[in-house]
Amino acid sequence: MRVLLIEDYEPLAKAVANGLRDEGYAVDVAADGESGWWYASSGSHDAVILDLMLPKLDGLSLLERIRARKLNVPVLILTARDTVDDRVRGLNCGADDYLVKPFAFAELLARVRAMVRRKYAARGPILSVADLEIDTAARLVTRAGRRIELTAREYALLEFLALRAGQVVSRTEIWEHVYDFHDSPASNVVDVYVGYLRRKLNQPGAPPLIRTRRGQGYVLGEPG
Amino acid sequence: MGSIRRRLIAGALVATAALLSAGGVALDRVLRATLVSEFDATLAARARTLAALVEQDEGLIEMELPPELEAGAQPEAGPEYFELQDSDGRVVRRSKSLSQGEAASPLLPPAADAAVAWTMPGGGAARAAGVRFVPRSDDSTGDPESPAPAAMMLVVARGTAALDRLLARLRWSVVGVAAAVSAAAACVLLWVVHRGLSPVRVIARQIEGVQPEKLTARIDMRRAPRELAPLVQKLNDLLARLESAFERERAFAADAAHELRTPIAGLRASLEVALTRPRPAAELRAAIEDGLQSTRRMQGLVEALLALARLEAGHVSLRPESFDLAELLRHCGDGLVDTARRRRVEVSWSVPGCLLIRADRVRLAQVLGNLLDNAVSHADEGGWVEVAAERRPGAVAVSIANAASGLAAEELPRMFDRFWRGDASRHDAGTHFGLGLPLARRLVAVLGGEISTELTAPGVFRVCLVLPEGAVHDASMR
Repeated sequence: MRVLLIEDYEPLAKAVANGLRDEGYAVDVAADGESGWWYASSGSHDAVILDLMLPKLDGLSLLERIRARKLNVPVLILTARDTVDDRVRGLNCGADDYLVKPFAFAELLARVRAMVRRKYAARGPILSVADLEIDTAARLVTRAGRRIELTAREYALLEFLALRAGQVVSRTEIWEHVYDFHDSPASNVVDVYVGYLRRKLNQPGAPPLIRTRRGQGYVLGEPG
Repeated sequence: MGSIRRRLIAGALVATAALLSAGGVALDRVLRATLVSEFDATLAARARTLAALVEQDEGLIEMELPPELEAGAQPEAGPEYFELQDSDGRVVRRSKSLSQGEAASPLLPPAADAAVAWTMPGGGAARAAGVRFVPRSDDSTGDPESPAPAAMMLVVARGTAALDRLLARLRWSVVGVAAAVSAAAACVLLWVVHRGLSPVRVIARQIEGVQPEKLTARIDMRRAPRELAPLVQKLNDLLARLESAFERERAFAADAAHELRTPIAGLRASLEVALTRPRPAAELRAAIEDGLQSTRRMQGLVEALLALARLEAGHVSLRPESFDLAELLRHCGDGLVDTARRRRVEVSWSVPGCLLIRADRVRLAQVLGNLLDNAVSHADEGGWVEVAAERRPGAVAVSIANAASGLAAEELPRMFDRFWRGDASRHDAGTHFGLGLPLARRLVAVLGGEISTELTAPGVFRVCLVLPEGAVHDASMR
C-alpha cells in the first residue's frame, strides 16, 4: 500500500515514514502543502496522512483541492488542534479520520490500515483467497494452515493483490501502489517480486495462486 | 468614605430636625403673641367696663365697684386688680390688696399705651392694661362753673398663670410632635434609603456572580438606575477588557500547548518506531538524534515562553553598561553568515565605525540577534538584507530591511502576536517559534526604546529600532 505523508515537522515525518515503511507501506513524504498536492494529484495513494498547519498551502485547503479533483483517497488528519470544532471542520472538509498529536504510533497504523481496508471494501482484517489467509493486522500469511514468512515488500505486494483478488492487476498499478518515489523505477522490479512471492506461496500438489495474464498483469486466485 | 446610607440618613435627619425646630419655635412665638394679645384685649375690655363705673360729680370722682373687685378678687381666670389714675398719673384708687399711699408705684406708667408684664404683690406673673377715658359727669345741668372732667386711666391687671400653663402645654406639644415626626422620618428614611439603594445590591449580586472562567457576563444596564448607569457602563467596559485579556492568555496557553504537541508527537513517534523491532545501532542512533532534535525544540520553546512570561510579569533587571553598538551589531551578524550563505542572502552594512550607547548589552544583543536572524531567515531566498545604524539627537536608530516578496501589509500588525509566523518560517521549524518578535518588542520596551515595522515598498520589509543613547558621556568617554 502506498501512503502519502504531508507533515512539515521533520523528526515526526521521518519517524512516521520509517515506521510505515517497516510495516511494508510505500511512503511519499511532503513537507509543505504545495508539494503535498503535487504528490496527491498523481492519484496513486491508498491513504493520505495530512497535517493541518503547513507552509505554502494549509492542510484544509489541500484537502478541499483533493476532494474537488474527485480523488477518493482516504485522508487522515494528523494535527495538534484538538477542539471539537477543529475535528468537525476537518471531517466536514472530506477527511475520513482525525488523530490528535501526540499519538501512539500503533494507533496511527491501525487507523491507516482500517482506512485502506474500507477503500478496498474489505470488512475485516483477514483476507482469504482459496486456502490462503492474510491477517492484515498481524501481517501473518498462512496457506493451508502453514505459516509463510515474507519480507515487507513481498507482503505489501501480496496484500495489494489479495485486496483485489480475482481482478487483473496491471504492473503499473502494482508499481504505483507498492512502491514510492524512493524506489528506482527498474523495468522488471515488479516481475522479480512477483517471482519471489510465487516461490514462497507455492505448495507441491496445490494449484498456483498467482497467474500471469500476458500483456495485462497478474491475478490472485480464480478470476471472478 | 463612610456608608452612603448612614450619610444620607444623618443628613436628612439633621435637616428634618432643624426644620422642625425652626417651625416649632416660630409656631411657639406666633401662638404666644396671639394668646398674649388676646389676653391683653380681654384686660382692655375689662378696663373699659370698669371705666364706665367711674363718675365725676362736682369734681369728685366716684366709683362703684363690685365688692369682689374692691377686695382684690380671685376669679377663676386668676387674681384681678384695678387701679384708677388721674390725668397726672397719680393713683386715685386701686384694689385694696395693692399697696396704698404715695409710695405705691402705679401699675402702668402714665405714658404707656400698651399692656405690660407686671409682677403681682404676692409674686406671680401678671399683665396690666389700661384705658384712657373721661369720666361720666353727673352734672346734667351743664353748669358752666363746674370744671370739665379731666381724662383718667383705668388699669386692670390679671395674673397670667393660666395663660402661662397653656403656653407651656403648647410648647411641650410642639416639642413632642417634632420629636415624634423626627422619629417617624428616621424610620421612613431608613426604608426609603434601603429601597433606594436596592439597585446597588442588585448590581453587587451581579458582580459577585462574575467568575474568572466566565467573563462573558455583563451587568444588566436595564436594571441600573440612571445615576448608576455610568458606573455600570465603566464596569462593563472593564469586564470587556478583562475578558479580552483573559481570552488572549487562554489563546496563548492553547497555542503554547499546541506548539508543544508537535515536537512531543515527533519525540514519541521517533522512540516508538525505534522500539517496534530490533534495529542496527545506526538506525537507533538516527532515532535518538531525531528525539534530541525534538527535545531541543521543546526546550527552546519552553525557554522562549518563560522569557516572555518573565518580561510580561515585569521580572527583569537591567545591567546598563557603555559599549559600542556598531561592534555589537557586527558581532550578532557574524553568527548568521552560515544561514545567509545557505539561503544565498546578501547582507549589506551601513553602520558607522563606532556608536557608543549605554544600555543592557546582553539584552540588546538578544534583540539585535533576533531581528537579524529573522531578516536573514525570512528574506527571499537569493535576496538581500540591509543593516543600517545612525546617531540621532539623544538616540541611536538601527534599521534592518530585507526582501520579503510574500509579505502582505495586513500581516504587519499581527507580527508581534505571540506564535504568529510568516508562512515561510515554518520551513525552519527547528528554531523559530513565532515568539522572537513579541520578545524583541518587550525587551525593547524594557530598554526604553521603540520598535516598528513597515513595508517601505512592495516586497521590502523593514524593522526600525530606536534606542535612547543613555548616559554615555560618562567614565567610558573620558
